[in-house]
Amino acid sequence: MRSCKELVDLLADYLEGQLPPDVARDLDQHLADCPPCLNFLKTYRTTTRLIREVACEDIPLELEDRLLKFLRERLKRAPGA
Amino acid sequence: MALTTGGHAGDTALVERLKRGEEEAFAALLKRYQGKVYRLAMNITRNAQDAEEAAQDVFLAVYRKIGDFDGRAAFSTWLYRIATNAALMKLRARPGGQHLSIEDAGPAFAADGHHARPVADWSEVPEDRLLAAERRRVVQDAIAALPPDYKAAVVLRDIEGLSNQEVAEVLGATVLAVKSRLHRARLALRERLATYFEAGGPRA
Repeated sequence: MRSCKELVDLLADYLEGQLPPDVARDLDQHLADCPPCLNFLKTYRTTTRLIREVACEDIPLELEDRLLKFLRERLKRAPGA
Repeated sequence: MALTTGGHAGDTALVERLKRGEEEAFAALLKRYQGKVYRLAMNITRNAQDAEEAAQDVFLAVYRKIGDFDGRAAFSTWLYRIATNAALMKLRARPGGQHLSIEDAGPAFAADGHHARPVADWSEVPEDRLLAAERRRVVQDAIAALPPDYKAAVVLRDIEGLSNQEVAEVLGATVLAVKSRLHRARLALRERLATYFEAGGPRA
């Protein structure tokens, strides 16, 4: 029987399906018998979802224009400097 | 959009043309990658001015150092490396960066390996739009508190969707080190979010 700590240590590899089959089966079994670890797994997954959710998405259009203008000026003045 | 190994189709031709000094190739690479570079810098620095300056530095470096790019890695990986370093430099130049100690930030266990504290299920966090702003701030503050190297790993893997191998190439670390860094960062973030959501979650 694997401990909760072992499950948490191996969680990323477990979720990515990168563990040897026998280890993955041990953890399947542990999760079936251990509600705290199942909660831990679900909230670990939610954590990565929330990380994506708060990510900044798009470059503002006016910034694209400013960036192009900045680069044109700088590279015209000193292309290799 | 995740980058696959080999990057964007057509990068190699554009890079060759840029090496020959064709300005249009630079403009095309800029158009293709400015959004990604800005987003990466913004997600690492969480500061619009830092992100804009980082994007400027990145594309100046691309123009001036394209001769150093040997094509062993994908162009996108090379670009991500420059962009990550530029963003981290901005982050480190900012005063007052207090980061949490990642060693102590994960979950606690009893001597027998069981969870030391009850683990609640807050995975179904509410989708109420009125409360979303507070939740966003909590998550953003938690990410901001990560040490820079850990933050970079989280942004590249969990936001940009690079593979562990690609993140390792970008950060110049081993895959094992990247996986360990990522896992510790996520555990630290999960603890912070657990404290928030278990205390009642978003409040109006």
